[in-house]
Amino acid sequence: MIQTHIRLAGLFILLLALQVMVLNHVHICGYATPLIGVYFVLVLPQDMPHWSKLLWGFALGLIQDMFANTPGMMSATLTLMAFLQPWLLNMFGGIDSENDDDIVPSIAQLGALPFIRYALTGTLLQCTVFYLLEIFSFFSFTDTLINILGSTVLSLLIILAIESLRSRHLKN
Amino acid sequence: MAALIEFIKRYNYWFIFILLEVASFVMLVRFNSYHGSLWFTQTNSAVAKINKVYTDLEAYIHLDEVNRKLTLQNSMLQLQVNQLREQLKDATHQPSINDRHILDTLSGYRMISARVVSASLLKQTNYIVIDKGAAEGVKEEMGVVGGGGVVGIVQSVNKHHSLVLPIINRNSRISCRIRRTGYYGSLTWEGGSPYYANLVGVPQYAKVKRGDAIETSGYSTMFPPGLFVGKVRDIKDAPDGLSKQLIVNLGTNFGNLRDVTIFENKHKQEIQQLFEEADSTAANQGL
Repeated sequence: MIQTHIRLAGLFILLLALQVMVLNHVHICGYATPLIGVYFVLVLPQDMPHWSKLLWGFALGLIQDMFANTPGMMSATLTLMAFLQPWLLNMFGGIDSENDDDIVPSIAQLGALPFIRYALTGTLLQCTVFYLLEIFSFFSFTDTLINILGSTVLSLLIILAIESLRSRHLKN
Repeated sequence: MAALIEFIKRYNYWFIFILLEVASFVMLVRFNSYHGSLWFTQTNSAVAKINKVYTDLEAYIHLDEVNRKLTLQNSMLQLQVNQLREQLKDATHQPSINDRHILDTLSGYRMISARVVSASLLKQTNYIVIDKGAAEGVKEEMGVVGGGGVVGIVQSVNKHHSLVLPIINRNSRISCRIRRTGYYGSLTWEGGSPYYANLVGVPQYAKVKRGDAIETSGYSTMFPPGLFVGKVRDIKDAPDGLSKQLIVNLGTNFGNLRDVTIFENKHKQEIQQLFEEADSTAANQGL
């Protein structure tokens, strides 16, 4: 249990550093900015209490917001993602929550395709919520849509890259 | 109670979720100027819409009261308009040359303006009632003048009204003169048309022609000298053969007489006193 939390804290710091120091400065064509905070929420262990997930998600979003000067946006997004994570895992992760109750979502445990499906849904949802919050209205919706899709694709690629590294690390 | 605690235990993450989301939104609105302004204007316009509906409803409910007030105000304004219209008429009235001439000779006299309350003009003994009386300073034997010329003399007075003996009364007798040549006569009236009066006692040798102006002589203390009375229309010989009788077209139209001025001679007392002294001297000498 403690080990899980230490490992999560490590991942937390790693993702935070990556997001804040590198990815926040990436704006491909002025649209796509990778947002990988959702990855941390998505890989929270299934047996973790729901309220704990919410607090982790909120904490990560809050610190990201502090660095990116977007107060409330990422914290609201990641809290929502943490709230939805169990259902997403059930619906897209292809697991049976009745039997497997100690699953840590990963390619290794879910299989490549279900994990990609799961990650894609999560990332898309995160980017949609985040950009809608950022624009706070449906003004110039086309631009927002391009933002969402571009960021989703970019985020998903980075998340899958990190996940493949982590799966290899976990195997070893 | 136990069920409630169980419910809270089971769904605690819902409360935490809502709490965290609310906190996020508060931050979002509070610390982002763009989101803050957008939130502010949106909620403001929503609140304004609700307030407007409420105000409209309230206004509709109070229409009855408003209508009553408006009716009252409307009638008050109508009264005011009437009054102001009257005042405007008075204020913008252009004085004619006659009026100006009259006004020039008014020093030494105090004037009280009054309004005709009732008048007759087809009887032999016509009278006019005006709406000023002793309370306003009107006394007996004061001269009354209208816009067109001399009207008559105050005969009796009560508190707020006075009876005027007009020129067109058989008992009226006013000292007048011909403006151009200065010959005197007495203005009398013998019934008939209210537009004409007679100037009797004018000497045979007096030079008169039609159209000459007749004015007050100033010999009585009632009128200042030079008040317009009328114009000579016709010249006849008097029945006694010693004087002329002039038919005077009166300047005052008694048919539509409305506003009049009452003259008070400030020196009436002194003049009266001189007369009395003269009388007493004569009496003494006679003795």
